[in-house]
Amino acid sequence: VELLIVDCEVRAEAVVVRAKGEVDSGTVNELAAQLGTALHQAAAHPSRLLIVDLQALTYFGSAGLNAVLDCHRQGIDTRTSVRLVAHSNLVVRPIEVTNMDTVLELYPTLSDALRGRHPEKER
Amino acid sequence: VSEHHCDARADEPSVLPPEMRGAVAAALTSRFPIVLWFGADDLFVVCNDGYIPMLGHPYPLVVVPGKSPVFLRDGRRPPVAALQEARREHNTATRELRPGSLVLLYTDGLIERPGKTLDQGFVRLRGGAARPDSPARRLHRPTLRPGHLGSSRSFAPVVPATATHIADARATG
Repeated sequence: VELLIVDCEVRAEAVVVRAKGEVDSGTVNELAAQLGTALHQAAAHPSRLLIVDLQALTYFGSAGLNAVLDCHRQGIDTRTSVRLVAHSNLVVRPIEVTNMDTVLELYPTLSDALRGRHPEKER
Repeated sequence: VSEHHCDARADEPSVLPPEMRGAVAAALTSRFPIVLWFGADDLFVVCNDGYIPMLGHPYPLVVVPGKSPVFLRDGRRPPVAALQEARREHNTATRELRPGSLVLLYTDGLIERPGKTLDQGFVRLRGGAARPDSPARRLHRPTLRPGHLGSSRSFAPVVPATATHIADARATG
């Protein structure tokens, strides 16, 4: 049984990475590798946009936070936007508790991330 | 603890970096609250006044005898390694600690569980710390040892210390 499944899809609007399962110190290398590959694809994509969908994760701790922070920084270096998708507290709360929500771009849905708009900020 | 390559057993104090030994000795013999926070180059030890650089750890828990434990949720900021990229300013906060208070600082991995939210972990930790027989109440004389030395997967080049009772806390908390 695989603890973590990561896939990547190149769409017309963006490159989208989806992660399902548990991201911990034992599985994070798989996520980091996929994010690195996807970031290269996104840098060559007309949108220069990488979306990382974390909604299907059942465990997301410091190892996962490090991986997405590294990806975020590499995105800045390559002038590629990196946006996260999650509305589950399993993922959102570790980001909030560490105040990484002031660093990372987090959206509740894929469509929100594609549009780059936070629905609660539009009310 | 095992997933962080710490075996959670007691080590001789001599394994601590020299600059830590005096501070740890002072903390273990003090009658007053002392906050120790270990960083790569900085170590702050101040009676009743501890400056805690935010390293991305969950909320510290204050255990006061006779009162319900409370989490220190104010004054949070992103981990020091990510401060430059933060999109907004973060305030600091102060909390007066009464003599006899215990500030429980813990690393990731203590309260997290697959399929459970951090908030569920906070509730479990607070409930465990409130019990008279809680391992947290025995942490006033912990034996410390370097934990993440050599790890490349940390928010900051931290040299944290691991209390011997963390394994107990995870098992019973």
